[in-house]
Amino acid sequence: MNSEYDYLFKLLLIGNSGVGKSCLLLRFSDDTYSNDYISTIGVDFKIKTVELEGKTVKLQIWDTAGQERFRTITSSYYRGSHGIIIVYDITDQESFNGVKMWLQEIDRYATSTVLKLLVGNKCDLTDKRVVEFDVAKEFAEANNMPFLETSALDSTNVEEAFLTMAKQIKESMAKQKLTDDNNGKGNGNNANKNDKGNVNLNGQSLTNSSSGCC
Amino acid sequence: MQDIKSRTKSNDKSKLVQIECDDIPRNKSMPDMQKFKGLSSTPVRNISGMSKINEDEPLGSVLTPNKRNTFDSYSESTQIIDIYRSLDDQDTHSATTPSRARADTASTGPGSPSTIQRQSELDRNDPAHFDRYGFRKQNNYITEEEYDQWWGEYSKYCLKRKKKWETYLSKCGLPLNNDNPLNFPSNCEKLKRYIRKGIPAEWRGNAWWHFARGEEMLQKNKGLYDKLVLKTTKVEKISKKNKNNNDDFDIIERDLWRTFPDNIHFHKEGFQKEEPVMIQSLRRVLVAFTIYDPSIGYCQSMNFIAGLLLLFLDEEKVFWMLVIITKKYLPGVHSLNLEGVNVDQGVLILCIKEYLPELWEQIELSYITSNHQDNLMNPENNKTTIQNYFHKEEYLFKLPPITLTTASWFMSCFIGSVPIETTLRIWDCMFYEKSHFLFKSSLAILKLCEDELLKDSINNSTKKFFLNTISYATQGSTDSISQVNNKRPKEFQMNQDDYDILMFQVIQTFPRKLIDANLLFDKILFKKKFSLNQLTQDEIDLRRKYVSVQRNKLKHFDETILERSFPINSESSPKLNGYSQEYSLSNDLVNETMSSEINGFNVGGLNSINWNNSIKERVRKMRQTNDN
Repeated sequence: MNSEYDYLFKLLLIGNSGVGKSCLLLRFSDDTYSNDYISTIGVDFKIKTVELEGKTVKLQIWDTAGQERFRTITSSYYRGSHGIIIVYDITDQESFNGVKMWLQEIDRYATSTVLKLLVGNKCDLTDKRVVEFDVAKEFAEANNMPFLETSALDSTNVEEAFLTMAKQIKESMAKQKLTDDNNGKGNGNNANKNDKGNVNLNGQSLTNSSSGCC
Repeated sequence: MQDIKSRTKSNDKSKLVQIECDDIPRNKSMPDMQKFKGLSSTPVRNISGMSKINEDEPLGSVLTPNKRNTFDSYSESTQIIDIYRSLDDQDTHSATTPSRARADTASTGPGSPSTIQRQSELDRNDPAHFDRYGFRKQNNYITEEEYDQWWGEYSKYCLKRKKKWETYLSKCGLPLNNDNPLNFPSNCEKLKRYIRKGIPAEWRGNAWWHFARGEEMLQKNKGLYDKLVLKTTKVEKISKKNKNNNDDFDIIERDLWRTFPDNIHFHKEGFQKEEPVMIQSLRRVLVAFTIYDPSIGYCQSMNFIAGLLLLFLDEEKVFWMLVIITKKYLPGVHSLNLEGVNVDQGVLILCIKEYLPELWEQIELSYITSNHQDNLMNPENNKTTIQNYFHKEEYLFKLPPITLTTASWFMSCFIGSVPIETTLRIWDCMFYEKSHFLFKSSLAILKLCEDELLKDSINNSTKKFFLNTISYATQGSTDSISQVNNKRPKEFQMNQDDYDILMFQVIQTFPRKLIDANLLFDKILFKKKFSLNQLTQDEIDLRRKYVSVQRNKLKHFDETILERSFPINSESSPKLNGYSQEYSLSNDLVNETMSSEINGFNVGGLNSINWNNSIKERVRKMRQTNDN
């Protein structure tokens, strides 16, 4: 079986219940929007292949249930992800307050090298906005992650969000590869000797090189 | 008021009929009669649409009392165009007020959308697009043509089965009670066979209620639901004051509209002022349950169960059915830590291992690759990890990823995971045969997925390589592992990833296309030669206890290993604390288990194969004794 892609990235969508995670994913994967969307139980899974800087990148995206108790099920899969997108609803202050808790979850369960992205969804609802752009932007910067406002309804920034995430992962991998090459770590057997938390990717590993993100 | 009284008196044999007649669920428990007021103005277009559908469809005979409305529905349709027009500039974007108008505004900008588009909306809402339960025939997985084609055949089957049921009941001397039988034959093989072939749709509510022994529950708790509903109004007020958006009540409120948006009874059109009656009932049932059982509260997926029940039973009965399902059929599955669902997934994994060995091989391969590849590749790395995997049944604790999908099968009893008719057929059997039927159904569905999956299995040499590696590892020969490593195909990782994706896609998507319930039932589930028939409730009950014990042991094992290996790792401490809290609830179960049935086995050194055989042997003996 020959794979038709250069990279495979595993992404996870998390955030409070009702912020629009499934709608974002549906907009990105099928370019549709539906009001007839049902609550997600457990996880939903979608695949989308994108072109990024001349490379074919396959994105495997897990959409999770937002209710708190489902964290016991989904958190065990944080570890296998290269990127995690935290979504809140710009018309729902509580969902933005929840982002802190979601970050803690990431610190607890994901690998230390995982890349994060903050997304404020439903930005078409300007009249109902309660979370200001600048506030969220500042928060994202303080936590060392990119930030975007999206609308699954009118497609604003949806593709950009996923591509930003993919780009980050790709860059991080390239950087890592460089470090490995410079250190003469060509041998895969040694590469992950001291790092229990790495993610295997196409046989390569992302090791603890960047210390900034946590 | 008189009208309401007569409605309340009307039997609740089936929501199908009842809705047809008056669009009001039996609501005696509603403390505030004011709420009824709006109902007279509730448009009946959708509801009457049901009779339109049923005029052409065999089971329509049950649903025809409201034919007069068929005509009304069309005169009303013309009004809808105007109403849609007036909605143009309204902002209807909100989780709690779904409206198609919004999507239109988005696609066409602020200008007035053309009449053609409105017309297409109308066409979209034509009753012919909905099935007999009010669900839209077409979804992302099944086209309307596919539906109609299947229904053409299946409806004949339903009619045939119904006649057989009528004869059966008459022979047993049970009254049909004007097509609303309240009593069913006592348990026997024949009854089981009849149920497996499907209960007539319009009898379902009564039959489920009967087999789940709902009446006993209701009689023991007379008046309790009314009291709970009274309480709900108070609690809701407090909740609104506190504005805690993440509490159960808030999540219920969001989920009401996300339960069956594609069902006419749960959907609100732009022109409707009042919430649909079903939404109001669903809210009361879920809020009342949250107050009734705080150990569960509200868990997403209960909205689907309660919602589907509401199509077949009245509100109070739905509430008690929800209590029965969460207690008896799916213990712990909806609890705060969801340990019940994890246990059931462990049980399912054990069943897959035994009944679907080929699929298990695939799952295992994927599991070891993702969890233990580092160990396989590094001879100096501890081989104990892999040994632990085998001896301690690690996969019961760190469940394989496919359980992310199968967990929702259990939580919502297959609603949304398989098409609605298939779901209902599973429910028919579940209420009669108990929870092991959910496992049986899961295995049967997976069996169908397996055929799909094995078609596209990863190349054999890669597979062989890993199986060899595993067998060396279990024999404890580290030299052998490194030898095998050198021969590792370079492209392996990529292939395994592709395969994992395929497996996930098939298991998630394939069941949603399983419209032909008879295919699942006759060809797989009840095929006489298929070993699935041997899976009994006893076996499931014992496995539930076993998995629960193993998960607890593995939890402690995991903690010990982690502490030993990474004593200074600050990240691990909160994680461990989290675990101990999460799993402390199951300790009672473990103690109970330790002192009871499993005591007979040597749990420590037990692997599931031995264990299964022991169980089987015991069951066999029990049967023999019974037969004698």
